[in-house]
Amino acid sequence: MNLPSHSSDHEDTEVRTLSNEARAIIDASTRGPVLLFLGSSIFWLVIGSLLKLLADWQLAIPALMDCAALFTYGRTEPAQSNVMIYGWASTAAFGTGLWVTARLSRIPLLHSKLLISAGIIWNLGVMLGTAGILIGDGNAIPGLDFPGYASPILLIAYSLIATWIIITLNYREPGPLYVSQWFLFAGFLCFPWLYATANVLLVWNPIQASAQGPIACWFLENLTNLWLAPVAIGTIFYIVPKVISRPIASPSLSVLGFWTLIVFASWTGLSNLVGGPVPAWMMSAGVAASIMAIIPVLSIVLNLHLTLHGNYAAMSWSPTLRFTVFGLYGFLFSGVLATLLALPAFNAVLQFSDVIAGASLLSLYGFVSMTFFGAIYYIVPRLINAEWPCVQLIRCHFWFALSGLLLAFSCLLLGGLLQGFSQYDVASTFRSSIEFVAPFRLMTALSTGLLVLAHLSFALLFVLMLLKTGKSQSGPALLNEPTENSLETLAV
Amino acid sequence: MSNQTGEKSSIPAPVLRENPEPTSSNAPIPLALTSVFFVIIFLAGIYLALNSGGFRSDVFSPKLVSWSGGGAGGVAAPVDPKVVGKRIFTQNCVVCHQTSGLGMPGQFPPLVGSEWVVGGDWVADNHLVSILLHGMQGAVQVKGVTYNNAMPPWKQLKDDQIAAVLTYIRSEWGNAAAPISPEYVKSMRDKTTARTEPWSQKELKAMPAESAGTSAAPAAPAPAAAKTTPSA
Amino acid sequence: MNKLPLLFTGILIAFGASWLGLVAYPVSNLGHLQPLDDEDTAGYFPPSVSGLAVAGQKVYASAGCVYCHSQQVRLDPTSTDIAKKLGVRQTVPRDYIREKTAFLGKRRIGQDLSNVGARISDANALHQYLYEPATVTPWGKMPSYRYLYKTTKVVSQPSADAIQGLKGPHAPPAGYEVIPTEDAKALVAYLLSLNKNYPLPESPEPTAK
Repeated sequence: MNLPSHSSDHEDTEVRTLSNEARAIIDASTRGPVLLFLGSSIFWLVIGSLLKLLADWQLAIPALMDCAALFTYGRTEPAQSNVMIYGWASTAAFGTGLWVTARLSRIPLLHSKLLISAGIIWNLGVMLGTAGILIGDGNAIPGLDFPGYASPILLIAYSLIATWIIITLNYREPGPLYVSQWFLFAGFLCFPWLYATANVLLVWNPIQASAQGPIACWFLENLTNLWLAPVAIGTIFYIVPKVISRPIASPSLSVLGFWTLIVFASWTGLSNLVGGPVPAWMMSAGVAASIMAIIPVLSIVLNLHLTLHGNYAAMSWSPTLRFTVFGLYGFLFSGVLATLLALPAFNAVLQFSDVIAGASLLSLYGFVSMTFFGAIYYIVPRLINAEWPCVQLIRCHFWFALSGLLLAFSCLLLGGLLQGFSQYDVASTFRSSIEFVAPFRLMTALSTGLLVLAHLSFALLFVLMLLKTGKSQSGPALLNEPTENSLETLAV
Repeated sequence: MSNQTGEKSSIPAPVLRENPEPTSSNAPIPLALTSVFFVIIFLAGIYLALNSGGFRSDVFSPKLVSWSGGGAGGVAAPVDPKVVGKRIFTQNCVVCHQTSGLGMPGQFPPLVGSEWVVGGDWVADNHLVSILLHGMQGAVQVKGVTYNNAMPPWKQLKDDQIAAVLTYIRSEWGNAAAPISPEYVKSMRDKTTARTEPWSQKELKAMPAESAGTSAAPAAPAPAAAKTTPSA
Repeated sequence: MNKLPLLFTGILIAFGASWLGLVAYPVSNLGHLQPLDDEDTAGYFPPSVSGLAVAGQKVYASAGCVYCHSQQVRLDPTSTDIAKKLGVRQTVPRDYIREKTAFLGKRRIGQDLSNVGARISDANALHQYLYEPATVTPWGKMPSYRYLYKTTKVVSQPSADAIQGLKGPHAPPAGYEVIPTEDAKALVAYLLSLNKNYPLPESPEPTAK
């Protein structure tokens, strides 16, 4: 593959850079599949938010739509969470991962038309799975609710996607592997192993229920820690230095962050079962791993902070950077919260309270989703050759998303604290724990409405973008005036 | 950006303004951070070592087994005999002797403060165990009151069950007497295998008093005790 | 870190370690547990459950009860589950061998159900609760499961299955009665079978008072 090269005027010549022609060719090869994945992820984001709105309102007002089995809370809640994980986050991970891999491998994506079939199959799988949950075939295993007839479809689609990523990595231009590639590779390697293991042992041919607890927790935790998080982190490691044109501050911190994530974060699942029906050593291993899991969080965030140091101002005008850096700090806060919640003292009180729901919201939304929003804002203009048409919609998206997230998180945290302490207190009744948390749940339901507005703005923006209404624009869509007027600052 | 004029229109404007691909610089990890990380790993390791329940698959409470091991047989947590004893008492004895241990006046004798339970002038451990094994009939004096009823034999219960229920009644409701061990029950069972009839008070009085001797304290796990090992 | 095969091996070993410890180990050590003999009653711990209760597990999964209700009693004294009478002892893996899926649960929006069969023994009360929870516990967040029930006209005699004592807005009008479907009966049978108060040697009852 002889792509036109470009002599580097960057000081660090360790890595050969990529010319614009080469980039354009690579982007053209990824256009079909990546647009399909990103577009369908936004579709599922809207569906998932609407389901989440229904579920959160049903928690506040139980009589809402309880007449039919189809929309009982016990089905809308798993439908919402599985659509968000598999329909939004995983699909966006595929789109972003394919594009970043192609760029970093410096070769065009081979056979990209077949990836479009993979995308269609994946979406069909998610559709079938969601319908399956709503009609009552769900497995009642958090994170693994898609019925046994839908999950093989997802695995088939995945195997096509992963094959092409591995081939692309294999045929990459020789040179050092950049840190994003390690993370993406880890994520794409671990996901099928996780998903297949969990499905075989828990759904298709379930083992005795006595052994299912640890496996279900291992799966759910690693779905975030070893699939969504590595892809999101790999994306941040690509986008941040690219947009601000600075090198990554410390390669050793990158290495440390990567290996400690894989080694420690894979064991943190069992901290959700402290005191439960698992052998004592597994509970303690989960807690110890959760304590040690602060190490990759700190390494990665510190590394990127040192990279961003002095360039945070770009967040005020670049939508990409704004969302991505919020995603990074979402990672920091969700990691610290996860470590704190694993400590036995907190765990005993808060294990079954709304605080856990808040922590997973912070992680899935505040970290993973924000990062993928930033990535979509970066990638799509390059594929369509158009700029984002309406800055107002970007502002709507950002502010509704941030306010919805902060409001939901604080309500879940505060309400959950009250609920947890009330449930822990021997003198207090269960009824009082419900009454304490009720107003907070109402506020959470309202904040989900904000999230729905954010996602509708985003979806509308994407549709307008596809219709190329922004073709007439001459420059990138910036949220504010940049403080400097160099070409570098407009590289958003 | 050195592009030929002809190609310029095919390259998207966003690509044209892109920065070079990301790279890494060469700064080392700050030493302070490395030491913080080592401290965290060390503390987490200590937590795991102290709370691992011996890394056994049948221990579900982190503090139950000490770091040096302990807990013989297949089970790390021996059952407290008083808890088992209470259960057996509730299932078998409360019908007559009541949960309060006070019995029914005129019908069933009380166990609270009874000399038969805690020992009296001539009543000793062997008499109590014998009663449990083979039952009693005829007139019986308990705390100065005469009862004339029949107590069924309970020899179908195992040694440790009889020992547990006797230990329970000997330490409940204000009673304070030495616990009975399963070995002692076994020895009494062997001694009285020929017996088929329930005892009368006269026959028991004729038995010389015997003490059960030293026996394991109820709460401490007896290392060689044939406790409730799972029969699966 | 620049060679793909080396990276692959490293990830394999690191992730494989967690797979061995958290997947393979439970399958081999916890995946083949047998019930224990109950010396007093010639039964088993945990006791065997009726076929209707097993069918009820499917209804439990289908209705998504696990998303509000947990089914695990945690250690004493770290957690106060036992002090709050959710059970007499910690639940251990052997307690779940009669289930097809372990419904351990992640949130207690509703009460823990490990021992609900020990707290409630009246099937009619459970049916009433499933039909109109807002009437029984107005402060609660449980939705109505009246889709599991049929309202039919009373034909000559009221049915023996009809739910007694319904008072809420969905109570049947005069001349009608509410009959549980097979799913409702199975679910109630399952809930009534949830009782883990039998003793297990690996889970001693806490004696400290």
